[in-house]
Amino acid sequence: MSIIALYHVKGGVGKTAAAVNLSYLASQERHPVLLMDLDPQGSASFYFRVRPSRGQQAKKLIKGKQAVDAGLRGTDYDRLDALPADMSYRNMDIVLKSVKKSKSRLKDLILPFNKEYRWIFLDSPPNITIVSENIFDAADVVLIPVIPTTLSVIAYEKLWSFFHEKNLDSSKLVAFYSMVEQRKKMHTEIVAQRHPEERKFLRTFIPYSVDVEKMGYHREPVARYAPRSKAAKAYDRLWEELKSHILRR
Amino acid sequence: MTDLLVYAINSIEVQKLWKDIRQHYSTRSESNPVITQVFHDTFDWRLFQKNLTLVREAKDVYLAHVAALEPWSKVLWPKKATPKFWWQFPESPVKDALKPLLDVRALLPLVAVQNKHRSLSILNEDEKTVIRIHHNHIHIKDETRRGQNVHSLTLQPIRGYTQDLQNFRQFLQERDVVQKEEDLYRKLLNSMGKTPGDYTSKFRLDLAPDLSSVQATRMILRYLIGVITSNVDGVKADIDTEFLHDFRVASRRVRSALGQIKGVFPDEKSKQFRKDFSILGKTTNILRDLDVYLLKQEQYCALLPEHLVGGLDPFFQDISEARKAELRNVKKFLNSASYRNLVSRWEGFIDSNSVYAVEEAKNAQRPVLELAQRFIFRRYKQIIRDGQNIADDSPDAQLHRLRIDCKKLRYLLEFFASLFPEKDILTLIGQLKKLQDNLGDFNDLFVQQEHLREYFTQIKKSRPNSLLTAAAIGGLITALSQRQKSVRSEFKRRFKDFSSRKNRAMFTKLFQPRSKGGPQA
Repeated sequence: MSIIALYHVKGGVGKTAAAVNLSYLASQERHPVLLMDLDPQGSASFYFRVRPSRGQQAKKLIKGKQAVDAGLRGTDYDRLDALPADMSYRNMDIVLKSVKKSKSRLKDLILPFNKEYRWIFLDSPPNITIVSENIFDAADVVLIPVIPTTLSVIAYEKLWSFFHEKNLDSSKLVAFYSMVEQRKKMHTEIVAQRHPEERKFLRTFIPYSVDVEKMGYHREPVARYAPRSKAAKAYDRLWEELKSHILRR
Repeated sequence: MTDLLVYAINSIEVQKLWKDIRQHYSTRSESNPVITQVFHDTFDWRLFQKNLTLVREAKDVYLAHVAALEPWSKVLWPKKATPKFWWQFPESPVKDALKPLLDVRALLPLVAVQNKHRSLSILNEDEKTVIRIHHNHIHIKDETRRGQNVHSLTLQPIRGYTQDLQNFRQFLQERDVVQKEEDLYRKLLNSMGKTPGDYTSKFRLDLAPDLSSVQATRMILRYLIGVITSNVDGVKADIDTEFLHDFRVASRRVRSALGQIKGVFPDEKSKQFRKDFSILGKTTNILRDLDVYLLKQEQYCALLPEHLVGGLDPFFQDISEARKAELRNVKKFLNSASYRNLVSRWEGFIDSNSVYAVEEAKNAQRPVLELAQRFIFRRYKQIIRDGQNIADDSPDAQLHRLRIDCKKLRYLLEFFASLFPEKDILTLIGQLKKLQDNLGDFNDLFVQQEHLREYFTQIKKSRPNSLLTAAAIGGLITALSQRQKSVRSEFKRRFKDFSSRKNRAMFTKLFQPRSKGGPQA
C-alpha cells in the first residue's frame, strides 16, 4: 500500500482534480484504490457522485477501521472506493486536539487498510493545521500542484521550510505544475526553470484546460468523457511518472 | 471485489427482465463484443481445489474465481499457444500465484466458450451507480452443430449501497428470479461431460468397517486400476511428468496391496498379478529416472559454483535425448497387445463376478477392519524393531530395507484410512512422512551419485568442453555425497521422533488387535 496525499496550502490549484483523475487511473490497473476525501468542501466526493453518510463523521473517523468501513462507498468504477467528506470535517482539528497522539492518528487509521488497497489517495483540506500534519505523517508522498506563478512557487518553498522546521521527511514532497497556460510567458518561463535535485518536481505538467473545468458538469474523471483530450493524456503521463518515482524510492 | 450474487435464468426470461428493470429504474447500459474464452486447469484440478480457474481471453491470460469468473489478476500473453507450465509465464502476480499451485503440472484446456457480456447500472438520483447487473450469454462449442447456450445473471453490489441492493433483490424475488445453487463454471464443465475435482493423486476411498476383506481389497484394487488407466493417455501425450508418476505410484500400490493384504485371494493368483504389476514398474523405471534428473536441473545448477554450471549442459542434453528415446519405448509398450491383455486380465480379476470369486481364501470373509488393524500393527512393530537396531555405522542396506517397510506401512495406512478417525490417521501419516523423507532422500542421493559416477566414466575426451563437464559432474558428486552424509546423520533424530512414546500409544490404541484368534497369514 502506498499513500499519496494531494495537498496545497490554498485552494483552486487543481488539487482535487488531480486526486480524482489519478485515483481513477490507478484503479484501471486492477489493484483496489481508495480515495479519502478529507476536505470539508467535499469536491472529490461530488465528482464521484457519492454523498456523505449522515452524522458526525469527524468523530467517527478517529474511532477506527470499523467506523471508516461503514462510511466507504463504491464509486461508479470497479476497484475504486471513496470515503466521502462531510462538513463536520471543519471541526476535525478540534476533535484531533482532544485525543492522544494527535499527530499520528490518521496513520493509525489508514494502516489497517493495508491489505485491502494498493493505493490510497488523500484529498487534503487547505491550510496548515493538525489535520495537515496528520496527513504529512501518514502519506508516503505529498503531491503538491503548483501553479507557475511567483506566489505559488513561494508557497511551495514555505512548505519546504515548514517540513525542515518540524523535522518532517522532506523527501516525501513531490511537486508538479498545474493549470499551466502555455500562452502566458511567465508560466512557460517558470516551468522551464530547473530545480535543485532534492526538490522533486515531476516533469509532467497539467495544462490549464476547459476539459478539466467540465468535470463539475460531467461528474466523472476527464478520461471518461474526454479520453483524447490533452488534459487526459497529461494525467496519464503524470500517473506513470509518479508511479515510477514511488517505485524507485 | 464484493461477493457477487449469481442467478439462474434462461434466454427469454432475461430479455423480459432487462426490459422490466429499465422500466422501473434509471439505468445506464453497456454492451461488450463477443469474446472467446478457454478455461484451463491441471489434470488433478489443482486450481479448482482452490476455487480458481485459468482463463485465456484474446491476448490476456488471467486467474479467476470459479463462482463469478471475474479476473483478479491478468497478464498479457500475445502468443497463440497458452503457456503450459508456470515457469513459461512472464513475471507477474499470476506466475507467483501459479508456482506453488501447479508445481510441475501442466495446464490443460478444458472448455472453450463464446461469451457475450452486457451490463446494466442502476442509478440513484445523483445518477450514481448503486448496483451493477451483468448478463453473460455463453455459447459452448461442442460436437453438436448448434452447441449449447448458458445464461447467467450476476449482481455486483456496490460498497455502501446495501439498502439499494436489498430493494433490488426484492424486485427480483417478486419476479421469481432465484439465486443459483451450482456455479457457472461447474455448469460449463458438466456440459462438456467433465466433473471438476474427479481426479486426485491422493488415495481416497471410503470403506465400511464390516465389509468383507475380499470386497474391500477389490474396491482398493479397482480404484487403483482406475488411476492407472486414466493416466495412460497423459503419459502417451507427454503432457507432464506427473502422469507417469501417478501411473507408477498406483501400480506400486497395487503390488503392495496384493503382497500385504494376505490371504484374501488365492496365493497363486496374487503372485501372478504382482508379477504383472512389476512389469509396469520395470518398463517405466528409466523414463521416470530421466524425468527426475530433468526436474532437478535447477537444483543441480544451484549446487555448483557459477563457472562450473555450464559444464552440466551436455549432461542435461544427453538426458533429454535419452528421454525422447525412452518415451518411445514406453509408448510402444502402452500401445502393445501385451499391455491390453494385462489390463483385461486385471479387470477380470477384480470383478466380483469373475471366476476367481469362487476360490475363497482364508481371510476373504473376515471384516476388513480386523485385517487392517492386524497388518498395520504388525508392520509398525517390525519398523520399530528394525529402526532401533540401526546405528550410525550400520550398513546402508539396513536403511534401504527400512525405507521399503515404511513405504509399505504408508500404503496400508492410506488404503484403510477411512476405517479410523481422520485426525489420528493424518497425524500418523504426517509423522511417518517425516521419517520417509529422510530415508527417501538418503536413497535418492545414493542413486544419483551412482548415476553421475557412471556418466563420469563415459565422458568422451573428444567432446568439446569435456574437462568442464568432468569438473561439473565431479563437483556435483561431491555436493551430493556431502548432503547424503548430513541426511544420514539426521536419521537418528527422525526415527526417535517417529518412535516417540506418544506415537506408539496412538498406534497401539488404533491398531492393536483386540480379539484372539484373529486372521492368519
